[in-house]
Amino acid sequence: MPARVQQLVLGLGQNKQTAIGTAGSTFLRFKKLDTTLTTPKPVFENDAAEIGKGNEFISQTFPSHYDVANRIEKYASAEFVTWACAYGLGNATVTGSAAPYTYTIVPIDPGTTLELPYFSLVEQVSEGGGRAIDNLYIGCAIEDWTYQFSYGPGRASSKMTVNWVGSGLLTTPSGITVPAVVLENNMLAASMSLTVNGVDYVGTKRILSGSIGWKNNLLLNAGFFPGSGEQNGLQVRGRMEIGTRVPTFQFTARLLATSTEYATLVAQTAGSATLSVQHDSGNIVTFTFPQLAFEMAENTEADGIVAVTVTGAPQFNTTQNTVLSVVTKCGIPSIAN
Amino acid sequence: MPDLKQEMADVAQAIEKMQAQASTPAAPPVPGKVRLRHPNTGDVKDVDASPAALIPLMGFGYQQVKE
Repeated sequence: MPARVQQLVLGLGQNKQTAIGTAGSTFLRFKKLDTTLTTPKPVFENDAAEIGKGNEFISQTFPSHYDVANRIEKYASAEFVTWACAYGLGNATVTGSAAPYTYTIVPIDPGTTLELPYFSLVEQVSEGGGRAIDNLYIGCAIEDWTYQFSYGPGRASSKMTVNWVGSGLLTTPSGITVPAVVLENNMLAASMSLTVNGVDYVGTKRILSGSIGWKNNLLLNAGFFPGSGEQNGLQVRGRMEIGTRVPTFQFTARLLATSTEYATLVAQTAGSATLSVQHDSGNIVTFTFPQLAFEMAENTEADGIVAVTVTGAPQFNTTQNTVLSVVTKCGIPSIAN
Repeated sequence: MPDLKQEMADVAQAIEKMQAQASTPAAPPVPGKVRLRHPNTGDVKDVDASPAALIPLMGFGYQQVKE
């Protein structure tokens, strides 16, 4: 009897792992939108190109390494955005003795560490009384996340996408009992407040769509270092360090005679940018770029209305000691802690 | 040689001091404060549990200490 993809049980590590090779024991079960299933992909190489064996065909294969990666696309909830930002930026502090808990999240300081907190991830699909899929991926890190908002009704107005990478370590069957699905508090774009360089884009009813992103550019090949470890004779990563990290911020707003985007671009005026969305007072996410100039301002249109798409250039702020901070409130304690 | 001896004595003293600090249980932070520690220097700070107070230190690499 085949299984439907909706049966997928996706458990994301709540507490961070104590080491890349040590599985986490607490999980949060989330729903998601994309239908991708993670594959524990063993990679083999062969001798087809080697000289001296008489022909150009494969005569032998050799185990190389495990390649594990996937994406998670979701409607943005306070719980999932907190999870993604805490693991994706890496330095999270949680305060509060009862829900809602407040998370203060900033990128890791490269002078302190190059490794993000690692999480475990479990995927299970029941089939015919057993499980067609039951894998625990150990030592995973977030490659990038993107928060997207747009005009239009419903949860689709506010989404969060994460790409993650695994060390290659996995346990099958997982042996994990995943808890019930997290009751998420979705944050519609209708709840948004957005101020960029002193301009209130919501108050003036100009904002249409946009995105905030973070990419870690993980040094994946460097994870296969001498002594990094093996599983089934294939190499696994013993570390995943950040590369050149890139914060991004882009938005499209209606263009008015009083619009200041082009002048701000030409003058390279730098100011703060704050975007906030919420479900209620206990479920909020606020992204803050303490210092942001404009890199590009392109005239465009949306539904026939003249608009401008601004690409921001986030700068490191020496008072805040960060390029981006994310403050959230949600009911789940100890995410990435 | 005397300089080397003095240097070794200083190092031994510093190690003793570090060990004494590590074995002394620290009092928990007062309510409304969060304890942050720098993983490299070991410096500990109790700061207000507000993002405005936490962000500048966390940006330097200070991390929350689990109580």
